[in-house]
Amino acid sequence: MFLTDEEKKLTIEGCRFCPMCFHADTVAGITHRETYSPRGRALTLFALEHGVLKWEEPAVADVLYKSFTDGLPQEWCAGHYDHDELIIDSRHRLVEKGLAPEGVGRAASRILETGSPYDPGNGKEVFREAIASSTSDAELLVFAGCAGRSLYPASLRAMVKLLKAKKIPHRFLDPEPCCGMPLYQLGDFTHAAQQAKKVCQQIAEARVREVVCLDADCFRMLTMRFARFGAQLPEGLRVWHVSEWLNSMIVKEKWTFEKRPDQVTYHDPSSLARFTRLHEPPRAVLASLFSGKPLEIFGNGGKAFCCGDGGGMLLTNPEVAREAARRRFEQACHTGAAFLITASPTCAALLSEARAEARTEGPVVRDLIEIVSESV
Amino acid sequence: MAVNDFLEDLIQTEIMDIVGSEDVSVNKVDRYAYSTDAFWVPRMWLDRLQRPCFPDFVVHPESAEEVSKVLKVANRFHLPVIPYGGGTGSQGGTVPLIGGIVLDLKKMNKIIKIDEKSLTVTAQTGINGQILEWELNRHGLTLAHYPASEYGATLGGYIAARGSGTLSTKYGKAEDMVMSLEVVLPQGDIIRSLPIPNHSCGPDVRQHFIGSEGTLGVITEATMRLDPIPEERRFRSYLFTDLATGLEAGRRIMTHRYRPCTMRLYDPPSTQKFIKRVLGLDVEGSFMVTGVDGPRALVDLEEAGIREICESLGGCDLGSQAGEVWWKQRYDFYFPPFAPDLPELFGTIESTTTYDKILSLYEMKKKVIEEGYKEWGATYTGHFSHWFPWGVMVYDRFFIKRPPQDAHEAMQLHNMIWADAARASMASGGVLNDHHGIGFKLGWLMPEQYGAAWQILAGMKKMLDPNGIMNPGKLGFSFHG
Repeated sequence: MFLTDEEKKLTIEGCRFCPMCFHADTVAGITHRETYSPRGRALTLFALEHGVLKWEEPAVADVLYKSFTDGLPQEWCAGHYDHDELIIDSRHRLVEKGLAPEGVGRAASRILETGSPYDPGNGKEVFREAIASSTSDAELLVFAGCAGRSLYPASLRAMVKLLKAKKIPHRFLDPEPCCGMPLYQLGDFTHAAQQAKKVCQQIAEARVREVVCLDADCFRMLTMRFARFGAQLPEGLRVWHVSEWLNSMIVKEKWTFEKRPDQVTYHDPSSLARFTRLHEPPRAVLASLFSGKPLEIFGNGGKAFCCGDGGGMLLTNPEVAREAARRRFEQACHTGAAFLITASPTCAALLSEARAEARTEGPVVRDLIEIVSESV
Repeated sequence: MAVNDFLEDLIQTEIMDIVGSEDVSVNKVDRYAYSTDAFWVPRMWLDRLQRPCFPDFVVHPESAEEVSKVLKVANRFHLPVIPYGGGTGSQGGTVPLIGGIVLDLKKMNKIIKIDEKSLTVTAQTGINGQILEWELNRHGLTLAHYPASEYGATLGGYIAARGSGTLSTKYGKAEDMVMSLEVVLPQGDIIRSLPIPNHSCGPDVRQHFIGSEGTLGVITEATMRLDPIPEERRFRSYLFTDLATGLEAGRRIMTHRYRPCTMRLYDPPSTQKFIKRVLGLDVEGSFMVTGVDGPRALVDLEEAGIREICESLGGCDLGSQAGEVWWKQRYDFYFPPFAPDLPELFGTIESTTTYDKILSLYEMKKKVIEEGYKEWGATYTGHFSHWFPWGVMVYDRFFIKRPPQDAHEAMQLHNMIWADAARASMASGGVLNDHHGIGFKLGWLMPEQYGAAWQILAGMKKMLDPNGIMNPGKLGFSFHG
């Protein structure tokens, strides 16, 4: 869907014998296996295309779903082959053939039934409080996202607190549907399109002028993938990622904060790092909150490593997702910072869990909106 | 050795008992992924849908002890074992020609010790080259080994194939960086070479395994010499009217004992083809990039001395920009679509010789390729990028745009060109290969290269690996020990 047949062919031919991005593929680094590297996956796809391997072989789905599709190998690739879309397209074929792993169907069912692939019970209270804070004619809509609602509701709570404190009228979609990003990543294009259209319709009905996404993946989906799924957002609607919106408020509304002396580091979520290229707004927000310049974590900006949820990994291979988070947290520890800030509830959830698992005095993990809200 | 189902189950059980069930694979997807490396022949073989050289098992050990146990099992069943690092080799060194166990060492990736006082690192050899370098950089140190394969290759691969990096002229080849090794011998004994490389304690055991390409044992741990990240690194580039003048400049720089970290001299076709395409420069002649690094005062001195030599031979100073761009983009040449790729037939036939013979070696090989394979429209280019106190390597390549479509014919043509090119190198006082290794690509020419001295290597193989299980068919050793 996202690559033409010719682009797919060129990508397979470009990647199938090329070992040049092994170091940038987090799954390859975790599994230590050739098959789970961009070269291995492309070679597998080449063999599938030519009937040397069969789609039904159980290892095929495992190889194609163990990939973060986080854009990092492509970022390192001088030829910029779109490995990720190649993988997502092949997942779609597995879904169509009924060969996708169990986690894919489970995630789709949950999304269709409860609006989120994560535990629907988690965060219910926080979302109810958020709805209670809504103003029906507000022009600003906050899109909490599945992670903001039910994986790491602390982000949503912080956003509501901030909006109340700043007396900014706002509203939410009720019920808020999943934007379809996990389904797109998992190759379930039919349901991804369905969700995207549902979100568009509800936003149109809400008649708002601005949407602020708490989650980086939702922001990417709304701004870069909705149109490809045939979902049209209302004309003139401004869609922000929360980091951009916060920065604009700091600049235009002259929000000021008492600066904190702590040292801070920042993890770029993959969707901001590479797909939407929002590197500066979160850093600018941090600069207004902390007296020192953020300490850059190893692998930052466009070269940031995924912290675990790329490619829907948390839904299909949670142990791989958690190992990626553990590694990313360890990199943050090397900075010596007191705080590790990120700008997406999914990343905050995974990195917080990694910190708890590590049982070390590593940096305290916070979503950007949380640290802003704490400072108000 | 394609094993039958009964034996496969039996062997799999034994290997699982050693490394755990997760770390042994017999599925076809894994076996397919490990059936090739970066060598043109197995790539072409897969591309043309020929039956791949499947391994029977892909195994991921975590320690020398596990490697040792796996080798003991392999000996009992006379099963080939192919040590595998990053699979970036261009000589077919990791292709399981007759099946067996591919021993992927990438799980053995621990850094055991960084000695910041002596500037050494001890690590398991499955560690990825770039990951190792990043970790060293965090300590202000560098391995200073920057091969084009750095992003995919492993430390063990660097050593087992005698690799070379873009800064080898100053920092040496991988073999120069090895302090000591831990090796699992083919029958399972775990040995260590002496703790330091320079001594007067007889022949150096370490050297028996450097460049052994997995045929004499599995290198499981290495202590490597390090360097501090230099205070300053600068590049300049020069343009010479012709190749001979450029070569003379390089020779004078090296024999005056300047120590550029890099010096790359491109022949006129490369100057036109690559420099224009990748650097965007439209120049004729022979283009040279030089680099110097170290303490600032030393860099000033060496840069001035090198410039003086280049200018004395009419070299036009192109300033620093082109050199800086080359350094920044130095690996771009090796990514698709910039690197040569199928369906083109190509090969890097590099060789090294002394300064007195290098120009004639280059000219002879150019003639052998371009005249000998004129009907195929063969072209030849070269650059000179690893310089020694006594000579230099020519990194030369041949290209045939439209090779035969038939896989067998294509392979025969490929092998014939290689044989002619390699024999031209040897006849001109050069060697079969400088830093890519031998694999099965050049293995069959090893007895010819070594002459009577071959019996030493063959005897060593027979003594260490009587069952001939280690990487059969590579480095010139036979399939049966």
